[in-house]
Amino acid sequence: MRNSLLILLLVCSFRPVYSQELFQLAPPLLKYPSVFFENKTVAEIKFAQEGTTVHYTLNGQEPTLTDPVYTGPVSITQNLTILKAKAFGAAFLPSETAVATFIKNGKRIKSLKYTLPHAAYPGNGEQTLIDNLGGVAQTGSKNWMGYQCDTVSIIVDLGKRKKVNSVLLHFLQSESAWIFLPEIIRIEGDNRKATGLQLLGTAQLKTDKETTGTHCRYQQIKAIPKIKTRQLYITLLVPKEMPAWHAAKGQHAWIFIDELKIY
Amino acid sequence: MNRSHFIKQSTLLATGLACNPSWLFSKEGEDIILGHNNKRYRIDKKWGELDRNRYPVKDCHEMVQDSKGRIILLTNETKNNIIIYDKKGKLISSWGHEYPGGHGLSLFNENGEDVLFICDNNRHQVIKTTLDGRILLTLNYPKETGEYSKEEEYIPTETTIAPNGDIYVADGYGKDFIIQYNTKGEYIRHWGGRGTAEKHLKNAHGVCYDNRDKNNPVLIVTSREEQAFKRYTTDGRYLDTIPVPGAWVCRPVIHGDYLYAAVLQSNSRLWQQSGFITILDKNNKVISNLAGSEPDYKGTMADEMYQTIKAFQYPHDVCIDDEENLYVAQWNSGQAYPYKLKPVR
Repeated sequence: MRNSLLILLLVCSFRPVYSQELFQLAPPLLKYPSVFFENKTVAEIKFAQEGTTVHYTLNGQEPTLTDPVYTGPVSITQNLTILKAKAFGAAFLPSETAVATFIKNGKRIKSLKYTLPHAAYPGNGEQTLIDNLGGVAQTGSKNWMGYQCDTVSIIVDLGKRKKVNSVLLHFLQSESAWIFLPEIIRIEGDNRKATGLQLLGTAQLKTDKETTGTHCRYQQIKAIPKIKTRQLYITLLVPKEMPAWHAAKGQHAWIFIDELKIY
Repeated sequence: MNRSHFIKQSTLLATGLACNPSWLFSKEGEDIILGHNNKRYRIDKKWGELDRNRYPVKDCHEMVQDSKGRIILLTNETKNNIIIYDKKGKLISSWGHEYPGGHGLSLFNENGEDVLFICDNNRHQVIKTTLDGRILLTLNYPKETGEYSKEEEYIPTETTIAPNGDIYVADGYGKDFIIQYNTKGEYIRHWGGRGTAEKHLKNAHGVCYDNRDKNNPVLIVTSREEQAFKRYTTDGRYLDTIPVPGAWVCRPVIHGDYLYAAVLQSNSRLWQQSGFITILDKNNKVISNLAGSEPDYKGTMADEMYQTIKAFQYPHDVCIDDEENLYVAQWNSGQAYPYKLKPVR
């Protein structure tokens, strides 16, 4: 009996010690020039809080205490590398996970034509979609081009006929701020053998469930068939009515885009 | 009662004691301490809690301490715009039903008598009252400046009162001007406003009279969206900028040699309840962030600051009492009552 009492006491006194409640850590800060990169980029993780360590992964897995502890800049070379970082501390609840997906350059794009964005979100000049800048999950970042019209068209000129494997588009999603992903994405090319445009791929994105927070989202659409084309015709349909669960249901949504890649 | 039963009882009792957080809390040095250097605190989130049915709050915007040592809170809840506590968090009194946009609260000792200045966002007015709510003066939108065509353009957020009685109003949600009046409420001048020059302001959310250098008092104005404080002479000449990178600072509060400010949120995590409290020393250098990143300087420039511990949601003001305790009022934070933070000596 005496032993069991002792054990109970020990168990209790080894529990983490709380002030009046257990606080959760805030997610660490991920710092990098841009999520878009040429050959190589470097990401830093900032979290200046005593009594904590930041663990990270580059394979998309949720960081745990067994993953590497962040000690210095992380080098990134692979396309679609996902950096996930999470702060841990004995006296705290672990943080939510901070995430960034890094996107490597694709084929050289000679020129672009596109639907003019809304005057309030004009982007960062004519090269916005191919300047390798952006990937900031904030509506105020100047790299975003915002649209509230029904249809957005982008015509990509590769300079000469090249085989296209896939197209990647980079969007912002912030549904509480009326910013949705496009309802439909359609990619067409000018296959010489076919008459007119040839459909290379489409994506239909659902909005039946709410997504909270503000996030960067990429959509990569594989070209089937893989054809040689000089021009690519990208069509994005903006949701004309926000869904029933939204506070502004029925109103016209927005889409925000900051970059595209052709692989 | 047989023996085995007795031991079971006492085991439960002992377990209860050992696991009770309040028992552990009393063990010095083992609980969470917020802040850095000589400005470190323990937090008491229950300090200001009241019977929500009788004394509700919405946004808790600002707090001041009066000369009797009482802590005065301004909320935009018109059931009781003003709630007066003692330092232990006990309710003393409450009043006010006519401040639906109650936002700024400053206290001034006028010839030995405490008076309050309330900025009301919705009423587009600044109202001077006694401590029990009698109205002494009302300032309407400043037509005299020539900058405003209607009252809706003017959304005052803060006042500060100079020792000579001059009233400075920050139009932080309107056109970002600082408007100076004499003690009678007569317009003297205005400055600031929006623009691209250093002297301009972007979300002039707060203003304070900084007399830390007794021979050279200045005004410190918040430029929140720029993540900076800006210093001006008392007649409105721009002096310099104190950058606080990453920190959406609310009003500066001068106490002793230090400048304290609630940080509504971190620029790195906007609108995600990422607030903390920052403290600057007499050289206007950040020395402590409560629930925020450890201050770091590269040369004279502070490194980007951010929330590290989710102890606050959207802190909106900080009040420092005569015993160096802090009180934190929060905006849009689940109608939370104010917290108290006690210094770790």
